[in-house]
Amino acid sequence: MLSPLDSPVGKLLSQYVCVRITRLDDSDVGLFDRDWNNAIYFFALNADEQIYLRYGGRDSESPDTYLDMNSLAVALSQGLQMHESWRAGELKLPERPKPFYPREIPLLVQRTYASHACVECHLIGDFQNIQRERDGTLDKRSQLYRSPDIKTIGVELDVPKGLVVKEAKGAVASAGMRAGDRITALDGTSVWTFGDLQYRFDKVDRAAKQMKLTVDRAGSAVDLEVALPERWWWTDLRFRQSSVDPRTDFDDRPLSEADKRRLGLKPDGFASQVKYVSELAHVFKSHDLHVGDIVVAVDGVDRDEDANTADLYIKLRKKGGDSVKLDVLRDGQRIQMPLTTHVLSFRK
Amino acid sequence: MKTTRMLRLGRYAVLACAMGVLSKAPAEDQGVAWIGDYREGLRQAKETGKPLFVEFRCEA
Repeated sequence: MLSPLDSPVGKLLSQYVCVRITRLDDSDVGLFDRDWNNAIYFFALNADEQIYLRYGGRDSESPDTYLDMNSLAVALSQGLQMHESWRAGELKLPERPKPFYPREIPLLVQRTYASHACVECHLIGDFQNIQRERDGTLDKRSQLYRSPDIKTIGVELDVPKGLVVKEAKGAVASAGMRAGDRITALDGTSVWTFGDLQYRFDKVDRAAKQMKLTVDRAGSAVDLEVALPERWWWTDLRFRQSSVDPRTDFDDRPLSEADKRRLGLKPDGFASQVKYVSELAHVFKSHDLHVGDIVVAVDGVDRDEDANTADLYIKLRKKGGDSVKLDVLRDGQRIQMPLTTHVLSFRK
Repeated sequence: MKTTRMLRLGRYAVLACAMGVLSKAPAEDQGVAWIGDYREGLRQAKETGKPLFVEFRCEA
């Protein structure tokens, strides 16, 4: 049963018209744009279809890291306040986004509508990306590596309190963020919930070197210029059902500069050590890598402006199904071996 | 690892139930009524002056 009407969340929800959508066939996914690998997501908006805020979002560790009844109540209260301001003509909101319907994605029509299957959330994002890959417009850093993790820049939220910072580390600590600050804007756009913050963080240009976070500190707005670390946009893709992710069936870690020097490798190369080999490597006959192998080059390439490991290089620069030749150091010997990637076709 | 994952899933299930994720159809719900038709929700929002709260849920 949903929260009882006399519960805090129930009382707040009763002040809304609540709509539950479980099929996206006829939904305006342009209006309700989001990261499509979330099983549950909420929007508060007005009858002119202007969005006040989002509630939802996840990290690669768990689907519920940022879902919490208290933060939901905070978001619902905020939405009601914004609605009153809007009715009073005191709140200016961005224009409604251009409508976009799943039927406008040709591959979705061919494969999903044609078979009368359910248009599931993940299919929207994945077929959009497959289409982009075919059209040569796919930017994997932003469209495959969606929803960067705020922990990468050091933000640990006090989740029940919404955007109140529990601990500031790394890049945000260097920028001056403190525990107790409440994040209120990213690059000048207001954010009210984790869903808002993650959505706006996802919109940051992947080539950006810095961004501005605004926090409320004891009632005063404080702007913080955050220096973004290298590969701030990288996230673990394993929870995503993506078909533009060339699966390599191994995990690796970048070699330290000292190790690269010791092995006579380029200090700015992406040489990496294999830390894990999936059973799927044997099932798909993807490769013959062993734990401990050092991959020093892929198709003769050993450095890349974005990749710091061989696995990331393959994910960014190759297509699912591509075969490549690896240069590998094993037991002091340099050997070559083929690797064939594959793709996930979950419920497609 | 598996135990941790199961605990997480269990926690999610509890939270999901609390949030209505696993609730029955609106007509059987003893709490807040949820409308399954977005256009109808929009019509009611215009009629009542209330804001909309739209939940999307499906297999991600």
